[in-house]
Order: sequence, then structure tokens, then C-alpha cells
Amino acid sequence: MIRREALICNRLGLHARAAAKLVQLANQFQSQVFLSTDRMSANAKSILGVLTLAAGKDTPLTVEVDGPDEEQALDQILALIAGKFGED
Amino acid sequence: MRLEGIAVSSGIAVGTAQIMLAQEIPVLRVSLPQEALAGEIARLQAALRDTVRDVEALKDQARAKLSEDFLAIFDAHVVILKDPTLLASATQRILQEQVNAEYALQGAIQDMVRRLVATEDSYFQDRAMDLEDLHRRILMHLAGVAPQQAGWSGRERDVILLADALTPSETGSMHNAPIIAFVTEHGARTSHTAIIARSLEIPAVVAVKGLMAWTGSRAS
Repeated sequence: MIRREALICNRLGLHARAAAKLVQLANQFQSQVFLSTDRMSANAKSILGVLTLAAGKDTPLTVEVDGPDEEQALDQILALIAGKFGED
Repeated sequence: MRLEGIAVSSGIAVGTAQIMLAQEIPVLRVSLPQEALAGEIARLQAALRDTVRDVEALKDQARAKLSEDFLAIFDAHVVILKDPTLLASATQRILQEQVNAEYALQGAIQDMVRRLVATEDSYFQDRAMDLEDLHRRILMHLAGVAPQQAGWSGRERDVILLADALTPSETGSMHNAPIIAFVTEHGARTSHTAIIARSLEIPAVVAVKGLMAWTGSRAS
């Protein structure tokens, strides 16, 4: 299991489209992926879970990945978040 | 009478007002025998699959006309429909309460809407409306009725659409309709009505308090 911190830096935060991109990406890996804020934790393969996190701009997130392809999954998820989900 | 709202897409339009009323599908609670429950779960899974197909078809139809921004909303809907927690929550309700798929789905969706609205972020609150829209589509499939597209006879000209709120699939299928402006009672700067109005470059005013009461009084 590996874990890293990330900061949501796009203007709209983890809204539906950004969350959908993240969930689509997480679903490409066998590993389990969890996202946590200081208030709650969610399965990154569940859009409802990710939306319920309500992570707006500047929310710090912990990304936790566990499974056979965890390194690759973590790298790509961190890159998506740092790349502002391809927005602004 | 003066009604005010938020201008989300600017411009001037003069046309014929048309009122759009929301379709309500009543959901009944039906207690089922143990041996019928596996069939209910299969029925729910099939309805979810059919709804995914609908949304993908809507996206294909809208592809040429709408912006990438709007099209991406359909992808979000597909991800919602395939969400493991939605199916798990509805399945658990079918098994524990021994009820029909419609009733179990309603419980699962209401629970999720409550959680989204509790986030106190208007952008996320709009997602609660997406869920209501998807809910209606799944219910239609459970009832064996194909969801209807907004019907236009082809004779209408310059329609200004007045509605309580427009669902994403309603707005998504409107690029073919003779609509020149939208006015809705609900909505916000970030709602679909606003996004699509800007995408189609037609004027729109949302969050007009008292609109439907006023149209009701004018119609009678």
C-alpha cells in the first residue's frame, strides 16, 4: 500500500466532470484507490463517493493505493490532479 | 408583474412562451416473496444498463452541436450509473426490505441526493439534480417505457421555454428544438441550463422565484 498527499488546485474543485475523469482513471487499475480529506474517505472508483467528498479548490487530499499496479495508478492519479484535470 | 432572476447567458429574445411541466413517476412499495428478489436485482441491473445506453445515445446526438464541456457531463452520468455504491445500496434494500426494484432504487437515490445537498456547494448541489434526472430514466426503463425526448411538432417558432427546472437530458436534447431562450424557477450560474444556454448562445434567466406560480395563474 502506498500513500501520497495531493492538493486540489483547479478552480472548480472535484466537481462532476473532474470527478468523472478521476473515477474513469481509477477504474482502469486493479488496485483499490481511496481518497481522504480531513473529514472523510471515499472509494475513488465510486463517483458518488468522490462527489460526496465535496473537495473544493485548495482541499488537501490523501491518495491511498493498494494492489498489483499501485505505483502506476498513484503516479497517474497524482498527475491528473496536479494537471488540474485538464481544466483552467 | 415583475419577476427577477439571474442572467446566466445574455441577450434579448422575443417569442411565444411555452410552459414545460415536470413528469412525475409515482413509486410504490411492493413487498415481495424471498424467491422473487434475485429477479428484482436482475431487473434493476438491466434498467441501469439500458439507461447507460440512453445517455451514450444522447451524447452522440448532441456531439456535433454542443461544446466539449457539456458533452463531458454525459460521461459523468455514465460513471454515476455504473457506480458500484448505487447498485450495492439498491441491492441491499431489495434484499433486506424484500421490496421491488423501483422502491429500493428510490431509497438509494434519495440517500445520495441528501448527501450531495449536504455538501453546501452549489456546484455539487446541481449534481443532486442530475441524479433525479437519471432516476427518472431508470424508472422508465423499469416500467418498460422508453424515455421520451421532448416532442416538437416542427410547427413551433421562436419558443421561450418556461420551466421549474430543466434536467440535463432535457437540455441535452434541446439543440434540435426551436427554442430561443430559457427561463427557469430553479438553477444557478453553474447549472446545466446555464451551460447549455451559453453553448447555444441563446439568452437564459434562472432562479426566477415565483415563475411557475405566475405561469399557473396566467394559464387558468
